[in-house]
Amino acid sequence: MIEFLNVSKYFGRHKALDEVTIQIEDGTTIGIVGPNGAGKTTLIRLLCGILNPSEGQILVNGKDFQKNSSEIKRIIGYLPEEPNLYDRPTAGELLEYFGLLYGVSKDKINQRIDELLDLVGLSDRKDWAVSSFSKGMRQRLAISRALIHDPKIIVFDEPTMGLDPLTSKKIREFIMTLKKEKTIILCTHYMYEAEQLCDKIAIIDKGKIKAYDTVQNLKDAYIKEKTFRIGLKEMKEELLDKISLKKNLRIEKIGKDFVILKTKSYKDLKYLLEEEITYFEDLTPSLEEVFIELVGSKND
Amino acid sequence: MIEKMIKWELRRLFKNKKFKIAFILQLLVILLIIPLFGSYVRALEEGGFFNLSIGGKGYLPIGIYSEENSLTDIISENKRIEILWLDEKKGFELLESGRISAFLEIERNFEDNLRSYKSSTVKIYINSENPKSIPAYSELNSIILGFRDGAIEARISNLSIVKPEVELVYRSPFANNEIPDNENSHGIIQEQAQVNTTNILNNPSNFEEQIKKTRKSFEDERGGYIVLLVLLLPIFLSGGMLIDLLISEKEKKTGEALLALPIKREKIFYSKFLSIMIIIVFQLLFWIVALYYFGRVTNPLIILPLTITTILLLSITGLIGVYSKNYKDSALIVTVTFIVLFFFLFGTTTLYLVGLKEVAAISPLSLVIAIENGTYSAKEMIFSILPSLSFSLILMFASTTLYRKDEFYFGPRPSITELMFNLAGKLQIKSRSYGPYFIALIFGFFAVLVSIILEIFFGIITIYFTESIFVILALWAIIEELSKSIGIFSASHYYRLKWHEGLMAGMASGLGFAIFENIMFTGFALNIFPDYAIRILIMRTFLSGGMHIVSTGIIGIGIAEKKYIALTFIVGIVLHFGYNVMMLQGVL
Ligand SMILES: Nc1ncnc2c1ncn2[C@@H]1O[C@H](COP(=O)(O)OP(=O)(O)O)[C@@H](O)[C@H]1O
Ligand SMILES: [Mg+2]
Repeated sequence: MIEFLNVSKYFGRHKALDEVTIQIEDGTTIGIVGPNGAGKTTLIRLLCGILNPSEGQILVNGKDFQKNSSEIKRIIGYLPEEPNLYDRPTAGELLEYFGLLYGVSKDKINQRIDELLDLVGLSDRKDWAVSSFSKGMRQRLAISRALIHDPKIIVFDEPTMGLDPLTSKKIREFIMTLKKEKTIILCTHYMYEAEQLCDKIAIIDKGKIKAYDTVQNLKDAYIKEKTFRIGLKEMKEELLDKISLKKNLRIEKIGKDFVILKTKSYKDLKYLLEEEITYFEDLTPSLEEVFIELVGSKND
Repeated sequence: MIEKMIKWELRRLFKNKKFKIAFILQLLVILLIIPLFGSYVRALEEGGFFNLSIGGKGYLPIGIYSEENSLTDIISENKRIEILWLDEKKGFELLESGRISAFLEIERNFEDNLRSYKSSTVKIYINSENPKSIPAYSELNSIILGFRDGAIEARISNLSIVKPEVELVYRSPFANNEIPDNENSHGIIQEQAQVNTTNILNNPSNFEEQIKKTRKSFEDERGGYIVLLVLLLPIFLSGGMLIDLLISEKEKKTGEALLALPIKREKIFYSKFLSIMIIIVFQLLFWIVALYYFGRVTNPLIILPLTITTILLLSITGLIGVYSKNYKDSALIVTVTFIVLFFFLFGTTTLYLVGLKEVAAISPLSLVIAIENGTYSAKEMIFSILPSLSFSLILMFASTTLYRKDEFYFGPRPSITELMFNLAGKLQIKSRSYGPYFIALIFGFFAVLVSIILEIFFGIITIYFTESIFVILALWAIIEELSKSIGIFSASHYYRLKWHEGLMAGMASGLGFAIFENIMFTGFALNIFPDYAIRILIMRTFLSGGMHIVSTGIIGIGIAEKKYIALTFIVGIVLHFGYNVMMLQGVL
């Protein structure tokens, strides 16, 4: 378990994190979302011991981070925001160096390197200099570097930013495979990414945690009504009357051959199935809308 | 853990193209610099510092009382000397009147004496009131010594076993001002260059010892000095390498992954520091062994003070590397540091050679010379190692303390230049900012050091193409004006200057230059001819000081008002050049 207790971080006079309190249970995948400059990276750096909190305390498994930093850092794998790898060494040399520094034993390191390069699809590039790698390959190598010591906690800072859709998808799929056994903290500004991968999401803005819950709970809490567009074979007056009489259903708009309805629950739509429906479209806002509601429309 | 990091850094360094180029560069520079430096040192040792600026055939009229021999032949080949054949009486007369700048009395049968291993005497008389006596003396002295060495070497090659003992009675005419108690007029000082040779053919057991003595007498002070420069090169390059290692992690953002490692942050710093240290110590060892083999180094123990020097330099550059955000931020301060350090190290060793050993001992480089000369004591060693070492330790402590703070990797913090300019900007009197003038003044100081280096460098190159003194004087005017304008450019970069503020900043830079130059000049003068030191200081302060202030003030206007920049540079440089020429012609 990771706990932030009233953690603040100042850069000069600027307060980048403002009394953040958050708990991350073992084995969950947490998404940290927020606009640029919200403090996501700062939060993550604190979590990896790269920055020290100006105020407050960070506990990992009940132990104070700053007092046990070496021990705690050993179980954390970190993918920085930009894949910053030394250019000259080969992929294998780079992984070996970091592996040894993380305390992976010499006899296990080679097996681990092969395993990881295989997982991220770089096994044929082991002896290539990093300078020859494309951006996507660097990102995948950086991910394997983050995993070299088989950490219990993995922290990804914007893992798909600036990559092509295919590579992004591969990386998301790879993160999915890690989900079962690891605690993952994923920082992103793509809402669908967080929605797809994470059990819980923390929405952060101006250094403050605005919300922290499961995707479903966030939706339930912030999306009061669901919206549907229903195509009808025949526009019958009596049907419209019937809908208006329903307590939980509300007609938003009547078109030539469709209606747009708002409701709190899918259950209320049940009886409509008896009617002749030509199509059905769910217009309910996604998490994106929740986000926009919480932080204003600043997300770019 | 740290040894893995050191190994890694070493591997990275060896793979680094920059490192390879630096190594080749070292080789080239070393090969180039040995002959250049030899002449600098000779000039220094023989007090002929001012020869460089004056020249022309017949500039030094010299009286000789002797028959023609191969020594006088050599003297007459000298481009600057004009020989007048005189008898003793006439010689002293002209010497006193200032018509000749030195009078040489060569012993009868001088050449035969040398050939038959007898000692022989050449007397140089000079009139200390004649300013030309100094270049004349040093010129003659080096010719005579060269002749003696040549004669000895000729014998060595003819009779391969004979190694004559050489004893040189050497007394600087300016070290003590005693007036000879003979019938000569006041102010005339007699100097003897005595050449004693002993035939040791009969005593071959002394052979080894004689070789040592001979070599020592050749190389005593000069050798140590050249060796120093050769060995300082890798040391200075190492400073750049350390900064590179430290800053590249920030600039390329590779350091973040290091900070996430389960390793104490200071170990990252130490690993870089130590890997450079290891490389440099090995390089030093390599050069020392090589130079020892060629007989350029007599005692490999000099590795000790050189290592201390390396630690000193690395702890300074390490601190810069830890503080700087990026290369750009570090560039200015590194340049300034290198120049200051270079002059500190060489200034102190020069003091050491000149004889101020107590002051000079503070520099570890003086110890290098002392060890080379075999004159070091435990006390001297401690005295020259301890200050540098403790200063280094303080700086290293500061570096590690800073490295532990988040701000020194991620910021925010003012850049070094901002820090300096902020400090200067605080300089306000009655709510007027004197920042730009202060900056210009300080830069004026450094401009002296910058221009000395450039003048020597470009001066030597120019001499290959032309011997015209005017070209060199023009070159020096350009170099000095450009160096002084750096301060104005820096000030105008941070403050918008109006034309009169540009003028003031230029004058401040010129003033800084003049002050520092005069201090240095007087320092040399005090050692070389104390009598004149004060007179020179006063004269230079008013003349050259005024010139520097005016010429750079004009250029300051151009830097503030960009459209006049070319014009003002030309005017400033022409003014400076004109002054140089007038000084040369002795009008002033
Ligand atoms: N080293 C730093 N110095 C000054 N300000 C910083 C520094 N790092 C981050 N900040 C500021 O803190 C805020 C949060 O930054 P960051 O955590 O990088 O945001 P995000 O990752 O959410 O885009 C931003 O306003 C940023 O400008
Ligand atoms: Mg970020």
